[in-house]
Amino acid sequence: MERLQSIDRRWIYLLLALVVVIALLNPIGLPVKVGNTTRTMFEAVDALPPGSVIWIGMDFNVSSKAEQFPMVSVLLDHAFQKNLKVVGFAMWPNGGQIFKQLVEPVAKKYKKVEGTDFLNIGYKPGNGVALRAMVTDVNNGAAGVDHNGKPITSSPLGQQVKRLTAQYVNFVVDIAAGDPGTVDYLNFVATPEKIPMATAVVNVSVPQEMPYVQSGQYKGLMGGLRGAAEYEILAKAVGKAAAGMDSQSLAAVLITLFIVVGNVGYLATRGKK
Amino acid sequence: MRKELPMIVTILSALSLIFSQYFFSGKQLGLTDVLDKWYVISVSFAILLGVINLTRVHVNHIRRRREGWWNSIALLICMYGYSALAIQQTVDGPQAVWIYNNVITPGDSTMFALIAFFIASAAYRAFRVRTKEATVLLIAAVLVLLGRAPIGDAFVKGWGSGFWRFPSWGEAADWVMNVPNTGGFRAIIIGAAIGAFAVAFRILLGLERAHLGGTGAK
Repeated sequence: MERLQSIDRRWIYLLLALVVVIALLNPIGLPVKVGNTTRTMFEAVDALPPGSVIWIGMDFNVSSKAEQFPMVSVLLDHAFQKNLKVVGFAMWPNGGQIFKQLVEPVAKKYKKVEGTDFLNIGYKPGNGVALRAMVTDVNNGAAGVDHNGKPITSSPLGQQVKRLTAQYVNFVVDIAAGDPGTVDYLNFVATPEKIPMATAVVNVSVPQEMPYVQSGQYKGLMGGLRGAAEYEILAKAVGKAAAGMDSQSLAAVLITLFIVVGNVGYLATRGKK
Repeated sequence: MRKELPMIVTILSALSLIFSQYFFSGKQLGLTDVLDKWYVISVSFAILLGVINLTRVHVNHIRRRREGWWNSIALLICMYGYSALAIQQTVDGPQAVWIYNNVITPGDSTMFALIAFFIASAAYRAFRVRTKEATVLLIAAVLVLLGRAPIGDAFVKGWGSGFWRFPSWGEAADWVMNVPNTGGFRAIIIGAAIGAFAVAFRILLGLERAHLGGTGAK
């Protein structure tokens, strides 16, 4: 019984890796129930009339690729399905490049054109202040150029979205993995400019974002890979997130089993100690 | 003047921001835009300062042959090599993109993915029913862990309706997230905001000097 409390961590690592890989290679197809926060976000985006502008904050890095790349892809898919115009802006240095990488295949699928249907402003330094500069004047805030180094005002969408205000932008989604991120959008954009906003965050950030969902400051939340999978189901664009759900489920079961085994060992030996 | 000058700059900056944000004439003068531009320029210079500082620290490591000094060489080569490449062909150039897609992306993703293994091992070792509080933590953790994955609902589907509703695993996890978690986080957010306001006010009055170096409070 003593040994149940001190299983070598290498066995834990090995079993976890096996469970994740096996589930990825042989999906079980567990049904994913769509949660309220994702549904609210989907409905808010879905209700936007064609031609509306959706501003996507790319505030994460490639480290959270597994969770957040599917979030961006499915959101872009939904936006282009609805003929919305998309503006991508990053407060994280790699955000512009990630947006470029993810928008191109989806734009190709829906035959959308850069500059007319979507605009990649890219990364601009200054965190919340850069965001506030966008509220005043997008062209000035971006120092006049987009991610590709082209003048912002040379594209039709760049000319259309003059300011990050409710007059020019109809919805904001911040896809964030930390700071700067959601709080900057709440403080400088969504609340003062009264632009409806939703967020898509990594699973570990969901607890700290929940108060803003309940207060109505977020019109929905996509939480972790589960949130992305739920959105994929709603947008009828099933992709990588849904495929990863079985892995996540089995990994959760394995971790729970280890917790149970550890506690059985602890309870059985507690009296002896 | 080493402390007085930065303190004067801090106080003047704070007063300008207050004037630009809370007074109509401040807004009319467009002070916010000017200050925002200054901030962005300062931050850009801070990046340069960071590069210089990093170079100094690691050149020092190499000179003194400190433990792991070869890592410092690798860091400097990567930092200056990638910067030069990105300047020469922009970050979207073929080689820069190749390095980004095949070195940075998998490396960064691997580091993040490894956390899952540490979490599994840490959860196994840490979650024990040692005390009542630890038991509550353990139950909440297992509820949310399985409830956030589709398998939770496969274990317990839930039945009944209204007052007599027995929740599914996912619904129980949602309750943990929406009620105790949100209550706790609200308290933390409000507390932190009040704390930040108090510190900002102390800095404005020149009572808090920790950011200038030394012991801090007067």
